[in-house]
Amino acid sequence: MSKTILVVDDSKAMRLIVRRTLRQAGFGDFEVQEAANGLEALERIGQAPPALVISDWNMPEMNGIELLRELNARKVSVRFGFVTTEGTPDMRAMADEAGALFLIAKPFTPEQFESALRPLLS
Amino acid sequence: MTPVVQSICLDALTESTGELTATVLGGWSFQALGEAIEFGAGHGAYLGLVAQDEPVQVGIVVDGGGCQLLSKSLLGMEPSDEDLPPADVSDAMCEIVNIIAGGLKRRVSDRMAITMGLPIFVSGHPLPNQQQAVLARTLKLGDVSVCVLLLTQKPNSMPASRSGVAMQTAGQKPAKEHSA
Repeated sequence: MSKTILVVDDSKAMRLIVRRTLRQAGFGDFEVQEAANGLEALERIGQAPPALVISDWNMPEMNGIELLRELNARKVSVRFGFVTTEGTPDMRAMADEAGALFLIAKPFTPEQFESALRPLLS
Repeated sequence: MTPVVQSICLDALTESTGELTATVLGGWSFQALGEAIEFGAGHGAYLGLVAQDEPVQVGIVVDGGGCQLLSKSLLGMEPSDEDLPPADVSDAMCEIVNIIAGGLKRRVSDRMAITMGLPIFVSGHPLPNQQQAVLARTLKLGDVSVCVLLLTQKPNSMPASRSGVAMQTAGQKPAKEHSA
């Protein structure tokens, strides 16, 4: 398994917070790469698929659900989850339907990361 | 948006800010001090949303020092660390309003459909016009006083765009100020 996690978020602050939380949750041995929107993420995933993509939902250029659907359309198999403010049941259902493995609502704790990511990255 | 729904939304915003304080701000103390009448001279992060087909702005207004402290805490820095450049403060404050607006959406999703926009950070505080109403609450996050607010269109006000900017149509009389 690749030892890379791709964090996709248009906010530099949130990318930094996700990095920090990954470290606090015990995933400090993974290399964390960043993309500021779905288009950038598509390019990075095309170059080298990471072990996991952690994506925001609302982003300019290409949002998170569009990114996941585009990956599906291209038949790219990569573990994918959302870290987003959009934690309503409707959005959870939409994410689930598109194949997302988790949806963590902001604000989050390291424990939530540990619980959602550990089964995927062990 | 009726006064009751506004009040529910303001309570949800308050809870959401408390949740932010307890988590990504590192467990700062949190206190709701009451309704705010004045916002002081500060900076504001705002996020436009559409709630019940009505444009609403959610905001958080803080003075410059408070913006630095909140941003540093969000980024895991110490208060005594060197001040962040304006672009980083803007980014962090936008993320804060994004999180509290998302918390509002989550908390009222069984009552109303909300579509969220993208946040902006501005210098200064809101000056609502006669068609807009502001409901605000002062909160204490650690040592930082902030004001969370909802800016809505008053009942019977002019048609509004989805961005929350009032638009006057040709031949339409200005709406009367709502005194409620």
